[in-house]
Amino acid sequence: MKDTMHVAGIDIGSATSKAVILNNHKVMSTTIIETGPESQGSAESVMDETLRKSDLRLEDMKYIIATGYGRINVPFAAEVITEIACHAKGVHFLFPRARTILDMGGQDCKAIRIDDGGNHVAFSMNDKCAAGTGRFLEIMAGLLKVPIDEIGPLSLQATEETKISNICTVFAKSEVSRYLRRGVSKANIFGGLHAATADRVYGLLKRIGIDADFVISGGIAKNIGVVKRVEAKVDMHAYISEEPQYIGALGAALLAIERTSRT
Amino acid sequence: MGEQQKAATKGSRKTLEMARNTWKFIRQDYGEGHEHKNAGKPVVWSCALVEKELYYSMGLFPYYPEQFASLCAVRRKTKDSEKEAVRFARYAEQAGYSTDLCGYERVCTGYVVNGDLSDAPLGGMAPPDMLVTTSSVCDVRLKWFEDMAQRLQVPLFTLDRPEQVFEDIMGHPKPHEILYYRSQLEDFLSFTTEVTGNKFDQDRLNECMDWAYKTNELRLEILELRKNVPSPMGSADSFATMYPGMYCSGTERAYEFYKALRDEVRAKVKAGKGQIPNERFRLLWFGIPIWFNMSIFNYFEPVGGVFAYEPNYNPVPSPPRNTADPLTEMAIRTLSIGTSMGSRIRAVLEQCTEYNIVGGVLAYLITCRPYYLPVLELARVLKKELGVPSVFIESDLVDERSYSEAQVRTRMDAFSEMILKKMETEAACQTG
Repeated sequence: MKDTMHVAGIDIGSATSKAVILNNHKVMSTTIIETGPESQGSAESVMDETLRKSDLRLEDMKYIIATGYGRINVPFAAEVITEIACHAKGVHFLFPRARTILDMGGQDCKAIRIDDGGNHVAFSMNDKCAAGTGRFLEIMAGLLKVPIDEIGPLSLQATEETKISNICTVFAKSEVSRYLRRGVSKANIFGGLHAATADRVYGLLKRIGIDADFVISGGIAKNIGVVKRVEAKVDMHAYISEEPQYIGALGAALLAIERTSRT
Repeated sequence: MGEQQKAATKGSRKTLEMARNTWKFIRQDYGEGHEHKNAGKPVVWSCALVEKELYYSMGLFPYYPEQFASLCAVRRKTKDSEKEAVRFARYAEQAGYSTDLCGYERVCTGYVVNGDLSDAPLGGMAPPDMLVTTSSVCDVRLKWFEDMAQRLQVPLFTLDRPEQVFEDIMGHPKPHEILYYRSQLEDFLSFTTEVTGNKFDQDRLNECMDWAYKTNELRLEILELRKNVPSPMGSADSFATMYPGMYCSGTERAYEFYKALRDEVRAKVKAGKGQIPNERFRLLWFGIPIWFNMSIFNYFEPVGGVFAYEPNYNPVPSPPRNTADPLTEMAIRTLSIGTSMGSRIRAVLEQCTEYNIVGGVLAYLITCRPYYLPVLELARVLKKELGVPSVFIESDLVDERSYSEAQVRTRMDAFSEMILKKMETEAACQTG
């Protein structure tokens, strides 16, 4: 066990909690769970499970960094770093040529510009409104009774995207209900919702400037309906990792390696 | 009450004795206003950017609803009750006023709608005999004051101030503009005489203008002292000590206050003492403070960041005294200040260089056009001209219900990570 150096990154998001354990730069285990009502409990659960998968104990971790909205409620973390810095680091590790990141999470969306060292040099975030976030799409999927994993492919079948004029989640729900009553297809409704989402995040990206390569991270990166529409807006291919939800936790773990190499 | 809400409503840690003492000054001022009213003398409710010396010279005691709203943002009726600002804002909302309106307006309107003006912090503002507003900068104030005047059944006067578009923050108003604004001031004096019976006394006005001039000189001196490294007086101290200068200009007590403050700041500079022991980077705060959460001004201190400068409420040089015609002097003083977005931004750019600013925190309320539009341009220009990055903070000024602490914390943390990394990179480049 001489050459081992285990570190962990833990990302307590508003919707899900993620943890990644690295041995040097090799991923040992990952876990994702739903964030419960209490951040600390979620942090302990996700960490315990990730440790169990690699047959390790908390004491084996040389350094742990917490990120995400619940980052300040992770008692076993040595340091807290924002998800903006962690996504920048995680994306840089996977896509070294990336300069623009769109992180689309459960509670917010962030556009991040990074330098050639994986450091964020500019960022913009959505305002307090939930429209365009993962939570917004979850609410709409629930309303239309379509499993969340299916809304992306379904929206690509749209023949005529509906116009969702309201950016308020509550009012958007009313609009969607009205379309349903008028017999508009779910594909067209999701087409409209995803187009509206793409519109909002495009605004964030324009504020910081868009440079190649372009990467989308966070849970919504798995939604092909949003991804295709964002790609069309920015007129660029979006690079997406196999597990885009883990990028924040991965970045935190990579920063943990940097910290241990300094000491 | 959750932990998050508690954290969101914390006061700032002030570094100056005078900043900690301002509260006594405000309390005393409110008390004097009530005594003035009880003695049968007239009270005016007014706003920023109106010449305060006029009130003192005409025997009026002024209260300022905007300032009152900020007071309500930090006070509770009882230990466990909500902030007074929230209570009053609710009264306004129950009367049909939109939550999108500026908190200053909602809080004060709610306070008036409530009916009992003494049911408020410090016994509230003494009931007014008249209201005075201005056309300058804030358009909401025009209708807000009109609305309050109707509800309170008191007369309203509006000073019409020509907008001044200069290349720089200071400029030379045109003769016809000076004449026009002077006529506005004369109209105000006639209006006051009509309402209160008090006559204009030029000698009394000159006396007030003398105090104002001397106070302004002291405040300018303090600004110069604040340029020192380490920063002897930050934004938390500055916002805490703005009350006498903003609202009591033209009084001896304001002069005495800034004399003591100047002496304290000067002593700190002489001793080489900063806001914090290890100052690493200096920040700009642009915008009106989030009064219910002044602890934001201490946020970066653990990583060596201090707010060294904020353009709000600060003095600019006054024209020379003109005792033969103080009204013309007053008109020139007011109209020499640029009101355009370009003037304000140009001034901030210069100040960022003078105060060694490396980052800007730009605060705005989305419905406040005089701040919202400039912050967008300021962020762009700061980056382009000075390479200074900015972060945006959106919040109401006094109503904490819409404040998202988690969002603000993430933005501020990411911003400080960015600045620290930039400094680390620059230091590495310098050492080769």
